[in-house]
Amino acid sequence: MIMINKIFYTLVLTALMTFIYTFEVKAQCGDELTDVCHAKLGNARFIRSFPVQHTERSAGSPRVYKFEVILNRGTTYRIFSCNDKTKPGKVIISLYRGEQLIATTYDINTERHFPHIEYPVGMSGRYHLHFYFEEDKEGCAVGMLSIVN
Amino acid sequence: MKVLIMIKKIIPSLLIIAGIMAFIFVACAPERREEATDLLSDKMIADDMEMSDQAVGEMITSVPNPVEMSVLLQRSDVVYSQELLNPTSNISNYNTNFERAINLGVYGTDLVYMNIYDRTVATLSYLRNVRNLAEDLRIGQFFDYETLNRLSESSRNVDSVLYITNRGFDSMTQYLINQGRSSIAVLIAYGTWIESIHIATNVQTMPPNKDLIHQRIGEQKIVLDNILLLLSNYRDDPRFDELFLDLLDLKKEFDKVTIQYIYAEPEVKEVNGARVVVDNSRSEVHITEEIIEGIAQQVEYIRNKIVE
Repeated sequence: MIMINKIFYTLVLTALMTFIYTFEVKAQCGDELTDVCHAKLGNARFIRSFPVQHTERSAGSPRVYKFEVILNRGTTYRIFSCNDKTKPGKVIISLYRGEQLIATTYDINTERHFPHIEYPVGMSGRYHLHFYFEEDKEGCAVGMLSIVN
Repeated sequence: MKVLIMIKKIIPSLLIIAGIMAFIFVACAPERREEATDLLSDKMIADDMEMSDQAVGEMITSVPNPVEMSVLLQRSDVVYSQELLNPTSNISNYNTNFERAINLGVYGTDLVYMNIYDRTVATLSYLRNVRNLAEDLRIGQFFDYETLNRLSESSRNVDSVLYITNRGFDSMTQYLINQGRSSIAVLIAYGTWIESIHIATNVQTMPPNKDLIHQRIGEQKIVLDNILLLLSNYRDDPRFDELFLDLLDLKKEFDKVTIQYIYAEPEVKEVNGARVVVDNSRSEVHITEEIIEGIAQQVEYIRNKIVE
């Protein structure tokens, strides 16, 4: 009976820990991070968020998370991101039109990160946002697409 | 043997606990309207999918957020028209998850449109509809009704209301895709887009902003191609096939729009520590009143089918 009780309580405890852990992770990496990022909007208006969660991998090229967006001529967009500071990874955003790189938040030559990309669009069309983490480290980030008022 | 007897003794206790948990879950669940009459909710359509959920997730973000069109209308001095919106009483017509998902998108767009025009206080019934439809689709947890309800008491909170609404829709989409329910996410996006075009093609516009709005409508040609691609995934379901075929008719109208592209290398400058792009490329949309009329008629036909 003691043994059965032990198994039963271990199961209950494991379930409880999993439940708590799930909520803890969500709290750091979900809406809370989006809210933190939203506070940095300034004079821009929120359009869309892009949550990206990345687990470090042992081999292969860094994982790139891609999203397609339609940007409109005559609108100035501001693209930026926020990182979960409890994770080592720092996200880099690159904006592409087709195969052409328009701008990125990281300068590989100077190893410098930029807070945002501001893009007054002259050509309406399909663009792609690429998100990847510096040195492919584990990370959680939220990208923000906003329009400048 | 002893262990087996013990397990037998424990089973009734476990069943009682499970029963209590189930009772609490059901009792605490918000009041539901009529149960859905279809089984769309899960992976029913996923078997023959051409695009993976990940691919849908990468493309669905190209369906424009209704904020952009509504802001354009408001900045162009277009007068607000409540009669263009889907009446809240129509919600009783939506008895399948298919209808509910599309009209969640429709009401979401209406909500954004009302807020952009500072009709925040009048949005209560629309908020309620969005919450109810989201709950019916088991994604109500992403729509912060209580906060929105409180913030909607004052038009000073319009930015917060818009942010929480849009964040909720982003989270719903993300969740649906992660759960393998991308068909529902696509339907919500479809409803959102149709309602946006419906409003844009029906508002009273005056020169010179009229051209700006018409050009934006013409640019939806690019979005339409993406929505067709997203819908094509689920054409095994006759209801999706019907949406797809209706959009093909709309495409015939959009094919009359020409968009000219003039490419040039962009420049990137550093301004106050940020990267600012100088886009030297240009796009020019060529669209006539007749084409706008054709698009408006087909959108009206589709929109009437989905909201009634």
